[in-house]
Amino acid sequence: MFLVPAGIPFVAFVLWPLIHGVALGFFDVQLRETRFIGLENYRRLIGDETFWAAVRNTCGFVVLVVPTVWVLSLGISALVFPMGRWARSFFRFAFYVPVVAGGVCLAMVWLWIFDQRYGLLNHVTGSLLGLEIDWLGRTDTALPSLAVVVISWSLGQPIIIFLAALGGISPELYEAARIDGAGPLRRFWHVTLPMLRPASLFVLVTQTIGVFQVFVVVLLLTVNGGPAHGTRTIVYGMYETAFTPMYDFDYAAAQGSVLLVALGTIAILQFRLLGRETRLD
Amino acid sequence: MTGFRHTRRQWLASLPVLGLSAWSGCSRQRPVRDSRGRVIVEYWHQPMVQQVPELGDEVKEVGDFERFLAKRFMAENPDIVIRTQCLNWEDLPRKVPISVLGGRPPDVLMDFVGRTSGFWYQGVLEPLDELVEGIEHDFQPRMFEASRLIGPDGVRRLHAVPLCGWVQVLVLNRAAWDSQGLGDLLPTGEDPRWRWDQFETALDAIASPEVTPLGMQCASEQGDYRVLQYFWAFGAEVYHDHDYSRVALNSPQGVAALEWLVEAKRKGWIQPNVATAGYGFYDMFWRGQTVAIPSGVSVRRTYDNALRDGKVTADFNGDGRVDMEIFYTMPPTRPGVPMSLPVSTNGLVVFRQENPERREAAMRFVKFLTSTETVGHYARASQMLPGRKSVGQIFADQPDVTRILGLAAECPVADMGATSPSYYDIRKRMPPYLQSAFLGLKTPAEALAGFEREAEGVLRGQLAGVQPGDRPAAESSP
Repeated sequence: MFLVPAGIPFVAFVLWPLIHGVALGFFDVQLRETRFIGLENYRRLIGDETFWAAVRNTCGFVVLVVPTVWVLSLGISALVFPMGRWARSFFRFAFYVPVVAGGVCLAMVWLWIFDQRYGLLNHVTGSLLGLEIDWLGRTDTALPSLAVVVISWSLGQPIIIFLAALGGISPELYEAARIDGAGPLRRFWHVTLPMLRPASLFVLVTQTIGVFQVFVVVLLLTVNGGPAHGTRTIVYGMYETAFTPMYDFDYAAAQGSVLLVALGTIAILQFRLLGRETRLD
Repeated sequence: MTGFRHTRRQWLASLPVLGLSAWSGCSRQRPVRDSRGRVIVEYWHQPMVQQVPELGDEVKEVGDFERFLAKRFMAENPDIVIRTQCLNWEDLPRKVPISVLGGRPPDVLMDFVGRTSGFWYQGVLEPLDELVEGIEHDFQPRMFEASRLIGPDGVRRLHAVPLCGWVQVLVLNRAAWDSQGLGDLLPTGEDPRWRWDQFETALDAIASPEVTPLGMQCASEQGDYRVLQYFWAFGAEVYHDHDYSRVALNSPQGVAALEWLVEAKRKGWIQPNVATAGYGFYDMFWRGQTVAIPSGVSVRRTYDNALRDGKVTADFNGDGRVDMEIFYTMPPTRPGVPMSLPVSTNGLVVFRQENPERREAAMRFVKFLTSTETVGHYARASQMLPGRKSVGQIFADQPDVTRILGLAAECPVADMGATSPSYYDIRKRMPPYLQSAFLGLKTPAEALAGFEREAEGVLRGQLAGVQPGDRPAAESSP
């Protein structure tokens, strides 16, 4: 009874779309009719070079963004935590503003930063190094450029989490380590990091899930996931497959199912590998 | 306990709201009539017309002209109300299919027949043969035939009534050459045709770090005809002999064309960011950073709008004055290669109507929009070829346009497969391969082979559902 108010929206907006989406992948959906086609969409996925390009790019995003966000947010939190209350609040606010500013606004700003002719970045690199690069127009720079954008607006939440977690570490542990002769780095490595394992696990899992679904930055900063599919991601591919004149809703649903299985597997693996020893014995 | 009673009250209070939302969200029927009893017709259209000088301040922005036409129609048909909506180019291929899937499509849509044909093959459009009964001869044959497609019963029917269209020519900013005393490198106004060596010489003469002569659009499938113009110049074809079961671009001529384009970029004849260039190349043209773009003859009207908006800043001799002279030429071809040009048709379609009153109202509106008078308005406003011959010559005051269109009328139509069932599927897959070639990731031969492989996979899947005899209408030639 008590679960009903939360359960109904969950079923309506999460569970039912999930089941329906997975089921769609087994049909051929046209604008006027639908027919069952079994595993045909999944067979098509195996030979679809564009889809595998999207998978590679998405994995590239995850490899670039997730460890970087973890390291940067942990480092920033460790630096900010010893500061005074007002300083901590200021940095929490400063890093969290991109999270609430909205992807569209941030993407527009970054579009101008990356602009080859008038952008701030080329103004700096041009002045210092004599280099003006088409950041979003080259396959070797487009994906890393988008990764920088994603990192910039992903730091806020992990920093909040790490700052809170740092506050939960008992000072006696640091005292004991100091008495044993441990310097700042050893105290960080042997006390702080292990004590932050639960928070790290949470950050890594949520960031992985989030980055696997990167879409807004590709939609707004590139044209069709280019150049040459160099920034096309799985979710962008799903969007383009479903909502351009190809109307391939069922094929997009099949791609979504593959993403669901992949994300679920990765999350389970992360919990298995990193979830051990997260309890204090 | 107080908290529990409070939560239950809120929950009960929200039930009617949730129910109403669910009911309105699930409801698939739009009301047929408005509060005044008039039948509602939703008309969605491209942003084709911005300014119409003859109408002054009444038509200043995109959408104003369609509202003007709607008001005229409603004055003559007080039992119908027309609600117009202008969709931008990015929204058109997305919003309309989503609306169809959501059960709320527009009643009338004005769009490129390459997109509307997709709706026809999905079976969501009304056949419109009844609207042109007795006047078929008055429509431009190329546009009319491009709009007649095979129906589910195997009979060819009119899926869209042609409104207007355009033929692609090569538009130059002649002032770029004239300002440097190089005007004699260009074709003359009396004979605006190039020789291939003449074309390359003119490009080479004008190219500089500030000016990349050829403007090109390669970021997406929009504007693919601008790149394809150079493939046709080498005698390459997208489809051969109206066989839409396979693409024909991966041929020796196609490879030669792409090799030329890649080399042209290397020489600085094509903008360096061609792989990601979208509609921004028009702004490059106004700024004088590029001086030759494949386009229709409506560029002169676009130029007037750009001038009004302060976008035209081309100044090649640094005297502070704008250097812009629109000059239409035929696209160049290699020696011995016959010219072929794409003809793009914009037409009006009616989505399937369950309500007979709304169907009748939509048909009456389309008949009004495709009357000689209205087609003439549209053609003059958009500076495109009118879909109806009875409109007459709308470019009589522009002898250069009349001349170039006369030459274009002699050319066969370049077949882009615009009305084949797989047109958009194939069209969309080409730009990444062109980008790969421009960026040096693949050789031209590899790029075209990759495109052919991917297209084959798509067509194999598409044709599995096609019945024999379903070959779509061939784009006609004179």
